[in-house]
Amino acid sequence: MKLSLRLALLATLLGLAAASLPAHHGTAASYDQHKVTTLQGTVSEFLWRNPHCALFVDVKQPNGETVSYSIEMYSPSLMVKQGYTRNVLKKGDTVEMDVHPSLAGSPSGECLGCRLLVNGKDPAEGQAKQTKGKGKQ
Amino acid sequence: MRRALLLGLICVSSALAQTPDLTGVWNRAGGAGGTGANAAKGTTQWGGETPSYTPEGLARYNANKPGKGPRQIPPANGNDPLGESNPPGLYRTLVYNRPFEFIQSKDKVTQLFEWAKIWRNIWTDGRPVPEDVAAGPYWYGYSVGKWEGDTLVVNTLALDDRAWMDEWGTPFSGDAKFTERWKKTGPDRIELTITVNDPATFTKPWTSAPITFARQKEEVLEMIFAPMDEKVFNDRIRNPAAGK
Repeated sequence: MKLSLRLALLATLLGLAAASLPAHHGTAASYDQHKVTTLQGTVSEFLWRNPHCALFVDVKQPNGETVSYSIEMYSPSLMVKQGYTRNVLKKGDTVEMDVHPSLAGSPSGECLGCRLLVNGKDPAEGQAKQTKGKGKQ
Repeated sequence: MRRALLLGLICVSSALAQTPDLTGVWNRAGGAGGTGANAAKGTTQWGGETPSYTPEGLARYNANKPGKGPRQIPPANGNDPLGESNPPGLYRTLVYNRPFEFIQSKDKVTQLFEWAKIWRNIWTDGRPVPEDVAAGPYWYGYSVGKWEGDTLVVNTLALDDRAWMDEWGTPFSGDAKFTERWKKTGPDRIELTITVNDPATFTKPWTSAPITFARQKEEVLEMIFAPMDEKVFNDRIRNPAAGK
């Protein structure tokens, strides 16, 4: 299985910062709301818990080294409103996702309603999914 | 005598019949706070004018380091009481975007909040607003209400001043007295305005912008931040995101 990290500054995402949903801890303050990083990797752990679901992904770097990324997601109740369930992610799944990277430059990211493919499929497809910025905290 | 009694009963029953029914599940629908087009202007999430702080109030405002609002910093570098799983407190809960349920009975109105899965009673049995509450302070205060037409006017005091008034770090003192005005503006709309009288913090009483709540079809569920979960979150998500 090919694992790779693609760092991409996607479109400027005008207005995304203003429209983003703040979480109770002030998630937006820790991540660059003007940048999007596409991660591809393998799930090592997924925590379906308050205050926010947490995803840990092993991402292979261009130099062959594997780095574990920690990803902040919505709370479980908001994940459900996005069309996900507690079984959406499990150890060993391959994921591709667009995250806002950490402002500190650490291997961390924010995925509040971001594009997420699990084993090549959108697990919320067909669900009544609220788009980022229009949902509730 | 019997006639007078009957007349009295009719008056009481008529007054009850005119009392708006707030029963149901509600959530924020606009107004101050929030994000995007609904973002509050000024320095509080409650909107309204920027408060005029006393020197003591300003010192407390500056000491609060929120993870949201115009002064936001990464939560790992802040001092938000929620970051260690402390209770949000009443006013932070009211301005937050989570559902709550009103249950109305003859002697009180109860609010059941999804956030922290907690409740508060607003006593509407005619008791006076106390000058003080000996056993306080409380994170959710002590509240006495009365109906003025279509508006439930609530006086709240005895609040624990370690809580913030909103997510943006607005402070208040333990002597603060709040007046809430819950106005039923339609079958499915309520508008809330708060006024805080707190001479230790503000040079004059401060009033929020109106916040609108809309009736919801969803249930009030549970949003609890257990310290054991918060610790994991802080250690493995919040702090690494800030490079710690």
